[in-house]
Amino acid sequence: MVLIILPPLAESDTIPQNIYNGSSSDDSDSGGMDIDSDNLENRPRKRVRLGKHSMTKGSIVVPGEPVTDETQWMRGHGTTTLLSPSSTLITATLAGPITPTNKLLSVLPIRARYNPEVGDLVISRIVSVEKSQWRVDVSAPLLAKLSMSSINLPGGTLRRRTANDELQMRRYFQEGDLLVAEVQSISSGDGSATLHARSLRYGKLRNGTFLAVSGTGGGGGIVRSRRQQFTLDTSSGAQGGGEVDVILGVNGYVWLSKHIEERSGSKAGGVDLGISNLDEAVSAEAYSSQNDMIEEGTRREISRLCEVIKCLAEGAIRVDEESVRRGYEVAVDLALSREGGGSLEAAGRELLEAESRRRIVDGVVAG
Amino acid sequence: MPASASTSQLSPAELSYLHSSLSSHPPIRPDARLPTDFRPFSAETNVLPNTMGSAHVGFADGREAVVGVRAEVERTAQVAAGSDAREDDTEMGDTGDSKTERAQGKSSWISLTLTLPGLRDDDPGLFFLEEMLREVLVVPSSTTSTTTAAAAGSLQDGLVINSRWHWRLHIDVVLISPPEGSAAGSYPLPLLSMAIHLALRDTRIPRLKSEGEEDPLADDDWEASVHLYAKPGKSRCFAAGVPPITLLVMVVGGNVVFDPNGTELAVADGVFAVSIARAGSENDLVSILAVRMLETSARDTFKGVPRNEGGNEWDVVPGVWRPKLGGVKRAVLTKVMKAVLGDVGKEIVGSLEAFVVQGG
Repeated sequence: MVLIILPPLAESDTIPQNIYNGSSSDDSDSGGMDIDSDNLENRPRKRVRLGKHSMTKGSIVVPGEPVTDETQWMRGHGTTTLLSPSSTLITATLAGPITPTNKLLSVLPIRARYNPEVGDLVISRIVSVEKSQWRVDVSAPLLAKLSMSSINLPGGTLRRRTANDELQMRRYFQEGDLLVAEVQSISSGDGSATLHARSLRYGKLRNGTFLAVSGTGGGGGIVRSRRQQFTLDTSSGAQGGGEVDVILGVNGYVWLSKHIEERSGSKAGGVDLGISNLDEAVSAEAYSSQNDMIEEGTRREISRLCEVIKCLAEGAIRVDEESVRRGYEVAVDLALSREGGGSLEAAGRELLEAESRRRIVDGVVAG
Repeated sequence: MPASASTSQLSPAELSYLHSSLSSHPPIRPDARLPTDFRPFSAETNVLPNTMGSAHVGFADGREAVVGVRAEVERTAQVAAGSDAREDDTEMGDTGDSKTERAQGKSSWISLTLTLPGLRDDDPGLFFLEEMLREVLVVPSSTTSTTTAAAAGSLQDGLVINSRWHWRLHIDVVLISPPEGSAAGSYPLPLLSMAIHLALRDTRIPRLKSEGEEDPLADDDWEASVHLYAKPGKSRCFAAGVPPITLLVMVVGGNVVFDPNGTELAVADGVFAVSIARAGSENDLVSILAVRMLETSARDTFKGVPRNEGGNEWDVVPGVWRPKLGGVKRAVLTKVMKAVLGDVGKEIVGSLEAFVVQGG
């Protein structure tokens, strides 16, 4: 437990190399780059970038830098043709590597803030309580809105929102509360998102811990995938925890919690949930912040999962269900292969070392 | 001293989860560290030109601090032989016959300026933090009677040149940190104290060609300069021992946790800033110079909402967060002291010593 003092980070260490490999290897394009051009090294920098050399495929451009003026390219995210209306010059508007996908030319930003899109599953934190709506932080440039008509109030979906409800808004969500919701729409005026938590899968979060992997952009960070919410069985972990629910918000916020089986007794009157009485499904319990009993093993495995996800984000690996599962397997193997890996004290400690973190990253990329 | 504002508040459910995790035996930390595990940080010294010592320290959460130390020669205010002038000398350990022994320095000869992003220069919180960092530097690190006269003094005693001149140390600290909110209210004290320690270890004072009561004349040869604090292998120094280090320790549910990060601090029952220094020339002995209790931000939190609406407001329902009330028990404070004086203090001092010796 010696204090570890490291030499300072050199500048070249900060840009992870995976973003070049990750983005260009996914694309089917490899040979569509036959553009006649002079030898790039002799040209001054102001000229277009794309050339015969495939290495320029991943080369970094900065906003305002011309990318190409070939007519075959369509412009994608991060580029514009508006700067020179007469010609077909594509200019970059973001800083990042040039990413061609077939005939589409995009620039993926190295570091970008989350921009909400309709249908995204996000984890958000209440920032302020206003008249009949809440302002929530979703790690976007603007705070999102959650109006009181977009949540399930106890007593049924068709319940009228009364003036009393407006006065009692803090009974449902207070400043600082975490909830999982879906982006319903983007307001055309300022681009702020409007959320809704109308499904039973959404709502207040409890029994777990929060983690933010925002700010990586580029190849890393959380990607929109098929499943954002999944359950991981951690009984194979060194401490033998139970099941852990993982919610990967597209905005970079992650929630790890103990998996709670749906208690049928908690539904109103203990009635089985059917299509006719979906309205009565939400009871006041949905808005409580009372945690259940969480065993020590589960807590330790949640801490381990936290560190694994941080590892993946630092290594610029896309964080989705597959990589999290694989990263967790590698971490458990690492822990068990050490001497005393099953002891309570050492739970997750192996992840402190840079070596272990590298192995997790390698394990996920390779597997 | 109010805790630094954390812009991202945690929900009562998260607070309750964190608090119960940290209160178990052994405590379960969100990043799976041991309670005595410190996060690795990066450090380098001798980074600033035009300073006599400097250090650049970066912590794991992205915050960095740069410290520069300069010394200048200053005229000593002459005190009259009479006793009426004595009340100007409010020194620690200032005795009546100081003139017959080695000269006493004034703690005001060491000045520390702190620049934090977003805080104005006249912010009272800034003054408090400056003084907290400065006052441990001017306290003699070892007061045992067995040490020699040269070792028993404090830093300012070593700054005396002759009866009319002394050295004045200026320590400038700049905290470079990412924008508010991402650091989640982590108190910058341990980072700044570590940076100051390393900068002071790196500081060298120019050698003086003058002797005795002559006006001071410095030697231009930087290689001949003398280290401020004893560097292993070099015999000459201005002050014996090593500069102190301030650690951030938190207490939660009877457990003592070292180097808490922002989320752990949010549920602390008590937060302490403990300043330690090496006592004597061996790394084995560590003495506590100061203990300060800091405000815990767990007081300013909302209560959790229990599942059942009925019941008294003050009932303790397991799983529901209740903001921290009251102070810290004396027995807990003793536990903190014991933990610091035990292995943790020795390991910290030993690791820093190893870093300095290898030329960090």
